[in-house]
Amino acid sequence: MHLLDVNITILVSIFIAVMFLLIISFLLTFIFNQRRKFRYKQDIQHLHEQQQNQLIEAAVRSEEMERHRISEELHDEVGALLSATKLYMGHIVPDDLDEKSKGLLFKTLELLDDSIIRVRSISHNLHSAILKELGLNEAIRSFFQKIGQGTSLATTANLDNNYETDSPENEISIYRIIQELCNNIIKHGKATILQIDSIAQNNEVVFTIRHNGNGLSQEAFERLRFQSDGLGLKNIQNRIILLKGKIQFDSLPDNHAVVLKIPLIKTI
Amino acid sequence: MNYSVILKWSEVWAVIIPILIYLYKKPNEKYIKPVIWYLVIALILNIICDIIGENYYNEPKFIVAINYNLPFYNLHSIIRLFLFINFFHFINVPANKFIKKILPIVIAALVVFNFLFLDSFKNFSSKIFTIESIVLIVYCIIYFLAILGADDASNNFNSSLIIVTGLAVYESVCFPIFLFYDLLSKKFQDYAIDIWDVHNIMYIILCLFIARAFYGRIKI
Repeated sequence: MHLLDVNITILVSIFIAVMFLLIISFLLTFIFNQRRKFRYKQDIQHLHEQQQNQLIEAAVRSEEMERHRISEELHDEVGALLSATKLYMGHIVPDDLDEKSKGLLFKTLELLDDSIIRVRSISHNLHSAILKELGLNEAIRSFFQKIGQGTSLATTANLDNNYETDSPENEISIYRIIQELCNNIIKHGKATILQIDSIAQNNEVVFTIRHNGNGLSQEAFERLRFQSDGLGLKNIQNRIILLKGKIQFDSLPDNHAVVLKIPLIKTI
Repeated sequence: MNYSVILKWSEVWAVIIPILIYLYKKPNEKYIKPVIWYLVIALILNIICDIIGENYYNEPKFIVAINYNLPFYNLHSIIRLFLFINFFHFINVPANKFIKKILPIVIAALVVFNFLFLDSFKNFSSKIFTIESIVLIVYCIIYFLAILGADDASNNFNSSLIIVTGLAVYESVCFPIFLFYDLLSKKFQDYAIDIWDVHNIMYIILCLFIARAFYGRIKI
């Protein structure tokens, strides 16, 4: 066998080994590159989500602050003015008045009482004092009691007490979502029965709001929250994003439900 | 049954693995079609090749007249080349439309030219195998570069990418074998037989990659 012939077989063997190493190196580089690109994309997406959450959080916080300001002004300014007016009106002696003026005085006092109650109610709704003092469940129970008072609406609240949310801000957001949903159910759904249940399971708390009014389907919710006049639904969605929760609308012919799933940090 | 027999028949049993996986999982992607066609044809051709190879000294006259199983190897290479080009067109490998249309015609012309003027169809044609290798390696590289250049990134190896990876490994490692096989089989028969085992191992790897592709995506 010639030296050249031996060299050819060695050359072919080396050529095969080189090609093998080349393709393996290429594939490893490819996988490494794809992984890096995937991680970079994930980081960008994460950053984008974080930024979006910060914006939503800022919007929700400023809205909450604005609610507090309006609530306090209503309570301290308008409420005080109305109370003072009532006090002054109280000094009017009805016996000194004729029958027509007496009737007008009683009607004015009645309207004034009504206004004071309404202002106080609006102020309490806007303010989250009860939430801070007594917690989420008590605030929801109180809210349900209030919306049922003096109306034909029958309300029930069966709430699980065995959980805690991880921050008071989250409790405010949950409360506002429930408040907005119930207001919508009463205003647009024309419901006569309204019930809320909550249960803490698998590190999440599930609120189910059932009613017998006109229900909203998931598709309708998705559509309406992008419309310019659907501010309430937009707020609900923003708060849901902030809470990393889920909302689901189940619409049946005579019974509707809104299911709210909020992740929990700790369960008692 | 010893190791060399298993390796010798690997061209048959290795092809059966992806066919079985295909029958079990029934993937319905369009680009799978040319691959499954290739596997079926390859199975038939490889069975013929291995049966002829097994009875080398007792073959009927017509088998001797066509120079045993060598024409079937040529046919296999041509079919593999055209079906995998078809596969690359199905997976939308980024190439000029004109090139996509003209390339199979050019390759067909080269094949005809080769067998008319350069090589006999009865003999193993290193030129045809080398053309196959070069064309398919180029397609694989274009496909990989397209994925690297794409904006969207995934940590998954989808079925088409798994098949391309297997094909790239097979064609790259076998390229030197194909290039020098004519010369080796004439001058160094023992070495040529040994080196064909490397080809068979690479062929098993290709079939395993195809089988994995039929099974589903891989997370990287």
